[in-house]
Amino acid sequence: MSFFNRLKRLLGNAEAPTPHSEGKGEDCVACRDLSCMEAMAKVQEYLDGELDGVSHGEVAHHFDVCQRCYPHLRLEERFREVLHRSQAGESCPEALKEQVLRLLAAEAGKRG
Amino acid sequence: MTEPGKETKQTADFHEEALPHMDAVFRFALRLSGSRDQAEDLVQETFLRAFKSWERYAPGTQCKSWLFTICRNVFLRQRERGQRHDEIVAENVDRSSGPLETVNPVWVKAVKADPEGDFFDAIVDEVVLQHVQDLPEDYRTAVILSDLEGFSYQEIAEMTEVPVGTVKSRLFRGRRVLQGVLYDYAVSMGYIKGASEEA
Repeated sequence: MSFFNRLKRLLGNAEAPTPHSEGKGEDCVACRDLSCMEAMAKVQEYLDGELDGVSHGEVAHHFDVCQRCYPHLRLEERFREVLHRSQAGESCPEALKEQVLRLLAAEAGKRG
Repeated sequence: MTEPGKETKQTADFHEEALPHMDAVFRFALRLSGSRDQAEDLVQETFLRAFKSWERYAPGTQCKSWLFTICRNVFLRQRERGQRHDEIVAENVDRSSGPLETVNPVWVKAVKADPEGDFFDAIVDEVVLQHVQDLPEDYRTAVILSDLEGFSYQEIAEMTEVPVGTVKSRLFRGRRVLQGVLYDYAVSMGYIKGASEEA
């Protein structure tokens, strides 16, 4: 997380503004290269590492400096974290592994 | 009969390349089916079929995605046999085909009460997984393969035999559905204030 975003986190998000709904906000420094709508439209591909037609740096810069869009990115990240967490440590039961090995040995035996 | 030396080599190669993915295939089978018993059957069937078809596997290619493809195909065939068509399509999720809203309406609500998404910490894993399980199969498969297993859009397209655009559509819509139900769950449990409580 950038220094700017850490600072925003500390200061809180009392206003909770939403991304500019259309075009580029005239007074918004984040919108000079990429509008809020363009950034929001790319948030999935950005987090998936699958951007097409726009660079990772351009989208990253927008989210780094846009107080309107950053919370949306953060919520997407938290959502993915909770998905990962939900299946952490889940593994195939040992008895099932042994059963698979027995099945494979029997199949190999049939061929031999 | 297969040449003895060749057979031993094939078995050794299979053990070396395929078996390390047994945990991942089990997780995938469990998420697809929602049942430990069925997941265990799927794992056995997947590895048996893969072993029988090992000669068709191109060494050095993605063994894990090949195994997942087999597992999903076995699951879909079992499901077709076990359910009537009307049961398969009776999934109570909004599957409208219109364009997704660019700004996620769920996050517009959530950001007012909890911009850091701390409410996610309160949702236990079983609830998350149950809601993943409740997604329609095509959405569920895309979400599992991308968000839980880390496959690329192209890899998922090849595994599910659909264009990359379809993968993205299923994945993005599946995520939106999941985000909506997790948010609603968090509101119902009091982990986050709902939009009406905010007013």
